[in-house]
Amino acid sequence: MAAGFQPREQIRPDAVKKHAAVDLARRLPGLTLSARHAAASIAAGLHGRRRAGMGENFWQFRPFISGEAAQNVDWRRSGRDDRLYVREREWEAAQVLWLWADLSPSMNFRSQLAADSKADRALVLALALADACVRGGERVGWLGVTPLFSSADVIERLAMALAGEARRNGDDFADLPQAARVRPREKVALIGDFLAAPEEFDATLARLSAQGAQGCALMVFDPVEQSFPFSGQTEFFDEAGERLRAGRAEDYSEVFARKLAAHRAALAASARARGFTFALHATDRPATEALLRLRQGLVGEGR
Amino acid sequence: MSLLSLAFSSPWLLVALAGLPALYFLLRVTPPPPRQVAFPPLRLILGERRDDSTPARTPWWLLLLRMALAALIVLAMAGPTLIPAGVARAKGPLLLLIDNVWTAAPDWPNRQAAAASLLEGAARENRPAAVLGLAEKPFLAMEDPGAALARLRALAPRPYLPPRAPALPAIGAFLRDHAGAEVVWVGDGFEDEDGRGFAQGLAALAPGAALLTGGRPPRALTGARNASEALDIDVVRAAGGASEGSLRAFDAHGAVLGDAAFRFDAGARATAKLTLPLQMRNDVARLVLSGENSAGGVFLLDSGARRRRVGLVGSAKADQPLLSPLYYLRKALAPYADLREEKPGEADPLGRLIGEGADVLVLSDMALAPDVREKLVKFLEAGGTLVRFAGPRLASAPDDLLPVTLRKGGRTLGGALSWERPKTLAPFDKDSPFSGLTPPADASVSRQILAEPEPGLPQKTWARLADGTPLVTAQPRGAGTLILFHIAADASWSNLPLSGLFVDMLKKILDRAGVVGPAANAQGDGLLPALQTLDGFGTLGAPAAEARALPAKAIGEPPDAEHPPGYYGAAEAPRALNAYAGGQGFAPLDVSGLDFHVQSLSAPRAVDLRGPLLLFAALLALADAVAALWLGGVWRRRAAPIAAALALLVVLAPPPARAEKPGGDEWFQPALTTSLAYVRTGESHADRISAQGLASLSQTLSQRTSFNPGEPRGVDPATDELAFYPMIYWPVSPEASQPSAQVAQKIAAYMKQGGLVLFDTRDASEQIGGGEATPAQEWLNLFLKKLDPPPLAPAPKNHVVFRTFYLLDGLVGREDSGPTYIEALPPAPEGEKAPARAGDGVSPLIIASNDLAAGWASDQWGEALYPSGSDSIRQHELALRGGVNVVMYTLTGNYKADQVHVPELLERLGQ
Repeated sequence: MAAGFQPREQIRPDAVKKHAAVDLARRLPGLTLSARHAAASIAAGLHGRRRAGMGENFWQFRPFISGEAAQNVDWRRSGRDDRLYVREREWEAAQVLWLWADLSPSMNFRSQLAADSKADRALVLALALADACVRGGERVGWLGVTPLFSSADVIERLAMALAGEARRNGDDFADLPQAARVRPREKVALIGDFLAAPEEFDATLARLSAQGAQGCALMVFDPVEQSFPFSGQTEFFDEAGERLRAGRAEDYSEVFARKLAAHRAALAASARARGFTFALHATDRPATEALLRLRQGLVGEGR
Repeated sequence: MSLLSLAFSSPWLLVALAGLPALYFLLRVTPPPPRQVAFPPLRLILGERRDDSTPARTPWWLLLLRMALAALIVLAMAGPTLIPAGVARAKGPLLLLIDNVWTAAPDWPNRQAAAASLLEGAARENRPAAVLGLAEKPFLAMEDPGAALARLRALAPRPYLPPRAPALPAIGAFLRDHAGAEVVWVGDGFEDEDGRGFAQGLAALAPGAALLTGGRPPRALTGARNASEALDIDVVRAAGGASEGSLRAFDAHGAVLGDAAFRFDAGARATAKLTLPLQMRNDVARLVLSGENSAGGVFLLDSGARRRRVGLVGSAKADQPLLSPLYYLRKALAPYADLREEKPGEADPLGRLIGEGADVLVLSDMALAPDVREKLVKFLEAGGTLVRFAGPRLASAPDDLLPVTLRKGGRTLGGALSWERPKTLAPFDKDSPFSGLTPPADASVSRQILAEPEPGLPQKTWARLADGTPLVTAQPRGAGTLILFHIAADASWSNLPLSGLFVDMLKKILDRAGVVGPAANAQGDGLLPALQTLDGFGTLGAPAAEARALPAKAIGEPPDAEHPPGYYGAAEAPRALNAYAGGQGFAPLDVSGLDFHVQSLSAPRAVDLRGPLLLFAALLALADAVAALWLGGVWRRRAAPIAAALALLVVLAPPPARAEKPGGDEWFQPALTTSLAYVRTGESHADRISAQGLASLSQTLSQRTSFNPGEPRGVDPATDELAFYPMIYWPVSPEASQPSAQVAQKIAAYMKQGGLVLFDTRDASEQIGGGEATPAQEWLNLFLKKLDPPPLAPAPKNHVVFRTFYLLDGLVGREDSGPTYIEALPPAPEGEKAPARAGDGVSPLIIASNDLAAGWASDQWGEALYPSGSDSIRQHELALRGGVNVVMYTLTGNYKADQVHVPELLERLGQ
């Protein structure tokens, strides 16, 4: 794989990425999101609601109310005295995680210093996160694309949905999540390079947080996007077709470092303000690191 | 005068060199291209654009390289020519005279180049020119040098040596019109016909004319004689020619028969001996001097040097072959001659044999009628050889067509009532044609006829017995020879016909025998049309346009323009006219005392420097490209060295060899990999679906089975070879026109040879059970009538085609309701419930209607391209399984049906 922008078709989740994601996810225990803010959904899950409802665990026996279906009667308990009892179980609800990874063309970049392109890394992280959550009993969906899944083959389902999406929009993904329905107290994990203007990023987070969601934003970047190791006569270009001809590229090193630091600071501030955690991840670092950071960001409730 | 001087054809172009300093400044400001870097966060620094694009300086050596390149191109465009000292620079028009005869042919390219160099010189100086080949019609016109050059290139050496004098008046007229013209004569340097006379005339017309001579001294073949052991060939050379060489003999079809070497000992003549068996020697049609390439270096042989045609006539018609004299003669002559015999009961055998062109007539003992005698005399006059054998008839009634006068009766030696012993043969005289042969001691003669002793008898005697009586006598008659054997040709008078000596004697007679001229044949009016003629380089080809019929008498005369050397006459007995037959050798041209400026052909010539300069400039341009790559930093990437190496290769590599059949290696491609095929219907939609469907099916096959088919191919049954494809998918389109009868024949042959055609009417939804035929079915019915198909039936559920790979119920495509027809099976045995049934071999056709290809077709992720009825995914899978089964059925036949019986077979074996 050569350095530079990769063909757009490469961002599709394929078997290789699926294996990488499963491999990554199985290195961690199943991820169970914080119970405190478990969404008030009716879906069954692991988080006991200390109330009678749908669930696995015993909650209490209560007297049979006439007019109720006879099959509800717990005959073993009722046989001990003259009254009829009904066994109630604890209402166990599941937490919801909405995933989103940036698959826009700017993500499809890899320098010679990195092993994966940013898009590859983001996809693998998102899928691994999905797998970990589902194994932890939570429900996972791709923000704006899929409904929630809780089945074990969540990776395949997400991958198929993304592939369908890619076919539908011709491999043209936006660089920030589009507006989508999110319920209060559901979790959102955003993974991307967030090179868009900080205001747009802030607007997106504001929209999510207005719907009551919280979560984590992980900024993935290529090592050269931080170290700027260029010198001499160089012409830079990006996926949008912008070109910059630098007579001496090293002259731009300092100003780039300054601009990047400012950009990241703006993003971090915006995330904090909207109740999100903000983390950084370079693609030359192991993916496990990023997954741990995401986990902390999601479990640790915005700390 | 300097040793070398440089001339420019367009010197004003050199002014452009003054522009080089401007180029210097221009080149200095052109920087090498920047490195291209992909950088997604570019947006962050876009606003920081600063004006720092001052280019790095172009390195001085690159500057120098480019300036040199420009200077070279300017110099080359100015047309520089290097002119060595001694090349005259004249003014006025140029008159070029060239001896274009075969003596100039061996180094003709050299002569042409010398003349062309003169013409190019004239072109540089804008002098008009005229060119005249001295063997051509004298026509002279002033032309521009380019046209004169074209005229020069069109000149070719002529295969004869014409007089040069007819050109003199034209030259005179030309020189009167264009006074001061420079005259150059590129001569062959030989006297030829009238060299001295022409030189005198030319020197008078144009004093001081240049004469370019020299070059390779020619050699020529002047004759060939078929001697007893070898073919003797005379070779002649010009003074100073190579002292040895070789020649090669070809037969009439151009096959090489042998080589012969020769060596000149000081003199100008040599003889080459081509030693070959007589039969092969007779086949020699052409002798070619190796490395000579001129008409004089080729000697054509005609029937004069060929095998003799012998007519055999005898009156004795013995039923027992060993008692027939003709038997012995036939056995002796057959290996060495073209034998023609009298047919039984023929009225006039001699007349016929003479008419067939016999050169030798052998008459065993027979009496001659007066009209026959008349013919024989004529035959002898024309050069025939008549050999007569004695016998009882001749002994009793000798006629007068004999070389000697005979005594009546003859004598018997060693009979029962005689004291004498049979006589042996005496050794042959030195001047006898048989000299060199040794008579065997046991060859004896017991009876002979005797010649009347008369003056001159010893001279007529070729062989005699030990007591001196003549055994073979001969006498020339006209151009021919009359020979008499005083014994019979069978073994009754002598055992000589049984001996090897008899064969040798007859062979000697054949070697001596001449050819009967056309007069004897009494055919034609003596004019021989041209069959094939030689050109100046000695290549035999179709007759030249100006060749005329040759009078028979002119054979042996030197050839001229109307009668170029070659073969003349009837194709079965051609006569050869040679370029230098009997040539007396090459006399050098004597120009002593005449006003000529004699120069050598190999003198240095002007050299055009344009080509070398441009080549050098191209190399510099390549170096510049490499340098630019290196400076631009592209070098560091991996592709650049490869690209540079490729560029070098392109420059240095020889032009690619061209295939003999342009683009013709396509046709066997399908044979290299087995692949599925579909018939192109001509409807682009249907064809696209077929291609997609078969591609998906092929992919499925290679994923699931051990069969790896190649890319599916669209075929046109009218033009393409079908034998390479195991199965052909034929989507029936009712709108298409019916295929021609040839196509039907081809398809029928394909089906008979084991191919399977899968017709698909694609109209399952239109079919109504028991209803009318759909248009596609009607189309197919019409077509099948031409194919002689086997009886068809709906495929039963347990047909082997549904069992070959997957266990299926039917062939499903985009539809799933249509029936599948296949060759009808023999009725199932009563009571047997076979899981799979098959007929003999593979059904040659299957007719489906479910639009199979559309069912197979999938996109690159394996999903159905064309939606089908209810459960698209399952139906797509079933369609593909059906396709896999059909292909497996095609490839493996009823193998699966046999497999079904394996348990039963094993059980039987166990018992």
